[in-house]
Amino acid sequence: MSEDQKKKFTSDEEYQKATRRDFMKKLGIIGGAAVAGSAALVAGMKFEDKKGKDGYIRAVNDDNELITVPKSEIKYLKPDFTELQRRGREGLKGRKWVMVINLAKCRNARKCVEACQSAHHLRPYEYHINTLKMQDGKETAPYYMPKPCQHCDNPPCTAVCPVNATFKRQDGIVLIDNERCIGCRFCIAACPYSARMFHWEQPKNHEEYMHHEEEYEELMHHGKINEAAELKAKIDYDIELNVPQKKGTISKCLFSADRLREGKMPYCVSACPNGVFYFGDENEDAVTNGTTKETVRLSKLLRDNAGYRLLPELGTQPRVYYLPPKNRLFDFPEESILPEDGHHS
Amino acid sequence: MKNAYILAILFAFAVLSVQAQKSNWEVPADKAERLSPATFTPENVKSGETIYNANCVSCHGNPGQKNFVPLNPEPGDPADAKFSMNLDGELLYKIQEGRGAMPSFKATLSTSQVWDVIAFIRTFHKDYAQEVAAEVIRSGLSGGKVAIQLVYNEAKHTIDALVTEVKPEEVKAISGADVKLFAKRYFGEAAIDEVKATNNDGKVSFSAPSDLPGDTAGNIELILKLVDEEAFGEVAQSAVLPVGKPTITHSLIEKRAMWGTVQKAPLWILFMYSGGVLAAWSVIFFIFFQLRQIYMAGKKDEETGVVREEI
Repeated sequence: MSEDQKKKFTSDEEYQKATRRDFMKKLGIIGGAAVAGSAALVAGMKFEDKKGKDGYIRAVNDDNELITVPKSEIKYLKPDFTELQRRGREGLKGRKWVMVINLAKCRNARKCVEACQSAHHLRPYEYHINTLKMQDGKETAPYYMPKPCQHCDNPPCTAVCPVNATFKRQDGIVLIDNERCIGCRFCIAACPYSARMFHWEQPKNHEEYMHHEEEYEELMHHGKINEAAELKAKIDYDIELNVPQKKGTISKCLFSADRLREGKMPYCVSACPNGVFYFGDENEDAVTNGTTKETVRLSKLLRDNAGYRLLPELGTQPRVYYLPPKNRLFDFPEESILPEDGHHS
Repeated sequence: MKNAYILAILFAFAVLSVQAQKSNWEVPADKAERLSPATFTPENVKSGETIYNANCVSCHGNPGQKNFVPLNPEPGDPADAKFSMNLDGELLYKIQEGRGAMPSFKATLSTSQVWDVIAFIRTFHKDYAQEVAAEVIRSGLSGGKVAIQLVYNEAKHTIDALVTEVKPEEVKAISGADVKLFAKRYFGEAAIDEVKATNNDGKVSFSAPSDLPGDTAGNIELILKLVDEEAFGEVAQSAVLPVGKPTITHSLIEKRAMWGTVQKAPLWILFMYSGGVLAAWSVIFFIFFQLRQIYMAGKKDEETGVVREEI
């Protein structure tokens, strides 16, 4: 206590009291800090004890080194935009995805269409896959035909893209990167299967994403970096899902590349209630039915049922095979959908 | 005349009843009498509802609401008498096997999951009282556990399996048990060969699928399963054996092609394009160079005072 402060007090007694009060105050603070400190130390030790041997997890880092990490420190991260782009361009090594569609079993339940639209944020009139009503000639019977992108091995669409936005991966999937797409629609013109669609209007969940973007800006503005990062992972563009969709760009069937990575079958394949779809890896010579989960040899299935591909004369070599609509399980309601002259209008 | 009418009516009835029987779904007696090993609990019902909504609702609709899809034959509402008249075992069999448009759920749902679905359906049947199997009798076993050994016989090119029952005091061969062999694939298990029965020594042999692609060394993960779940429980044994065709996979974009990205474009197109660009620019530069030379020549004449007359 300085001389000036001393002068404030009128008597020595008061001065004594004041210093005692000061002393007690300081003691209180120090004591409190000591208690808190030791408590923290004890808690820390307890925590260390609790972690024990089981509290660690062994993992392999990016450099392929085996490391141990305390379980409490692990954060599960959704891959960021750069990683999503990198792995989306690369594809799954050693795979050659193939789809087989059994036309004999389709009854136009449209579950594949709905599952696809909900996964890829599409409106009911925007299609990656559609079930078409088909009839090849006046004397033949009509049938239903689900038609996704054919993921050709010789894709005309990627050949005409001027900006590398649409490309083929090593596992056979033809993807579209709407971060690169300039909306020229050359690919729509080039595709002989009409598999592509264009976002003329703002996509379905546009407002929601705009809202999230604003929220993100606000969080960053307030320095809440962790929350912002979490939100960012939600709104980051996933090239394998093509979500969020973007106005003025192309969208199309992606063989659910995001699901294949997790070992799950595409959205449409798993949603079908009638066992229409088979999906698998040509390298393994096996396809699995999406409904019954029965796995069969691809070569045998195609041979036994005379499987075929659409417009083979174009040399596009599609990765989607069809089994003929023979012995159909479900009849078409009308006998013929062709007009009297036998030609589609 | 009267007799003839009666005969005709009787005949019509007979035909109709035969027709009706035809549409009946016969379930083998031993399968029909199968009972759930445990009493249905609210958890079973809840899990059954989830499974029902994922797998059945698209055709059968919501139970009790009669909103099933109008197919021929119609799938029917599981709350209806047509369903409640089935024994538990019959429902289990029909769900697992499937018929016509009704898919088989044998590979999709485990037996316990199917029991959950039945537990859910039964909540819509008023007069239903569950009968539980007295005890789970593993008729194929005498108190021990099943052990399976899988070996690849290279000389004969067969996959040999030995199925035994292991008890603390002895190891006994299981004979006459139906087994099925599967190969692990990315999305499921592909059956290899038909169902086969073990012989008196508990042995069974499958011909190796030499045309089935394996990894680079031809290794395939094989799974042997005992078919009779009731007698043995859910038993499976897997092993990685070099029985398949060694396969080297090729990337679909390793070759240069017209449809490839810039990095994978054909060399001739890269040369043609860059050559074209280079040629165009060279012409432009050449013209500019010529213009400059004319200009410089003119300037030089001005400086030296040379006057050239037009010819």
